Amino acid sequence: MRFEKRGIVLKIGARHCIIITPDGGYEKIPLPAQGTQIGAELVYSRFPFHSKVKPLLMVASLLIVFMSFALLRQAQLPQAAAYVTLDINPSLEMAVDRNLNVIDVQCFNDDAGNLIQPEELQGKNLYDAIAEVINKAIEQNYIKPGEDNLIISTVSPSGTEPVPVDQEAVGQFIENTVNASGYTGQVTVYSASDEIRVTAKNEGLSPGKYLIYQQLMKSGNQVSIEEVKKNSVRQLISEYKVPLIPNYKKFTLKKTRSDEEAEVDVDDNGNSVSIKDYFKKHNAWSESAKKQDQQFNDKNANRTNKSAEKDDQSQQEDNSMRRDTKKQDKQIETNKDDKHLKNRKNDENDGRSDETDDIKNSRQRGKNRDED
Amino acid sequence: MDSNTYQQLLNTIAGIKSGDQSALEKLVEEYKPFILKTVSQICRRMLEWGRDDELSIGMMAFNSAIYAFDPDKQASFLSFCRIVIISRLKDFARKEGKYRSVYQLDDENLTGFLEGQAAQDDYINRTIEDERREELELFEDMLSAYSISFDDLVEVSPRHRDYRTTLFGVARHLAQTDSLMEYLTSRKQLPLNELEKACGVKRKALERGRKFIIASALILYMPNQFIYLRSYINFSC
Repeated sequence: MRFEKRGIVLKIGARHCIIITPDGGYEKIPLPAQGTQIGAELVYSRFPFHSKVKPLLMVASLLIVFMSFALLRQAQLPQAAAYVTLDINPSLEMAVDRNLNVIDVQCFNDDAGNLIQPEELQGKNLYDAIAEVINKAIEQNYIKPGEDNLIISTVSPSGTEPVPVDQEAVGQFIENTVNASGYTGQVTVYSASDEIRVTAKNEGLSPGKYLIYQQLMKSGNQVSIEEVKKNSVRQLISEYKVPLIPNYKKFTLKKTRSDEEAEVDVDDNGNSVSIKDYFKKHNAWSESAKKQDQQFNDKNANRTNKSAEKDDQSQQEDNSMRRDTKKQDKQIETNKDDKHLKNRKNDENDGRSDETDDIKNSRQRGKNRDED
Repeated sequence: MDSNTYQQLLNTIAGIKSGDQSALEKLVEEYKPFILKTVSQICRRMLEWGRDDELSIGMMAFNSAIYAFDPDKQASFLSFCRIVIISRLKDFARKEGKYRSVYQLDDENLTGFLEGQAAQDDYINRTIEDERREELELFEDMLSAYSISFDDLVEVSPRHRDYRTTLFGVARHLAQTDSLMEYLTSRKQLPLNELEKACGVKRKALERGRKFIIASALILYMPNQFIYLRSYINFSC
């Protein structure tokens, strides 16, 4: 310690004594309380403050050191410009900065934790990181040969800055990477709002899986969060036979009454509709979904029409009514299915999530014609 | 106060005997100047650590003395040490037969030496502090002949390491040159011209550090008189 000195006592005075130090200097220091004698070696500290102040000063200086560290770290931490998630089965989220470099990685399930270590991806360019994840997933057999592999990706903004990530580029890139290794798969990229990302996180899910969860639930299935978390997206889709909302759609969180569960809306050609509505409009529902819906509507007989089926003439009416009721109360749906759903059978939904709407619709129309 | 330090010494020895290794090392380190002084006195010449085997013998003797010391049986630790050291040195001289002439370790002188010391020791229960104190009192005496007091030295003591090193260099040169030391001891003044020429230090700086130079030179010039000071101070920094 700088303030500590030692020396041999040369002479003793009334209140001071003179010592000679090991480096040959002569100093006068206050007489120690316990007294001393000539020839004795003294160790003393030259601190001008009382000993009570000393610990305070130490604490103060330590605080300053810690605070400055904290401040420095803040300044150095890069700001996230966007969040990109990947769900195959491993579910992870990458935070990227403005230059598309990965600055943070979060794993949402054990599979992700086993797949990669966050440090491996940090600092990498987004696309390099994605490639690494995909390749590792192929290595560890999450992406299998000869099967319909399914990868969901979401892109979320951070704050109010525009998202520097191009959804389509990401989707294309993922698909290319998968194909490059000789595998096939479908890639679906969604755009999720910041609120969705946060809500998903609260449930312990990645935004991608959360949207899957929402789509499963709103198409009439009962799934648990744990199930969604653990299983691969492919498993979930094939098990519940939900035709996914197609690529590059944008999802936002709808503000609802506090006692209700938050509703997730999807942007449908400029309109914000609930997932449920979207399904109704574009896809067919499963049998169980229809049944559930029927039960629900039977209970609320006063508010809606009883019949679950509608014929072609009421199509227009249905559409306008649907839009009206949507504005009033999200949870209560009209059970006026449009003609697309009328004769839909369950088995027609098997594994055909990659069918385009047109094909589905024309098949349906064909069916209708048959049955007429 | 003497009894205090002596009691501390007894406690330290007791601790060492029960296995305190670090206390042993500390004590040996502290008493090295004493060992040097004693062995040098016995051999009638100034010895050097690392060069002279006698000092190693002395060290080992001191070590044994610690463990063999019994405060109830032996009166004073220091005189006991001297006895053990002398006896070991005699054994050493006998074995190295051809060097016997170098050691004037004849029994008569030694007995006288021992007795004289023992008398003193018994009276005041000597410890190393006492040894040092005697040396310092001698130092103070010698300085007063040059009109230098310890207070003076506090005033002129160089605060800056560079300045101190410079003055040490001058003092060293002075102490190593007999002619210059003679000038100093006879005239009680520094040979400023020669020192300025030899050390390249300005006359003004020499005058300012005059007292410090003299004090340091005295210690350097008489290492056997000022064994403890010489051991304690690092003149090369």
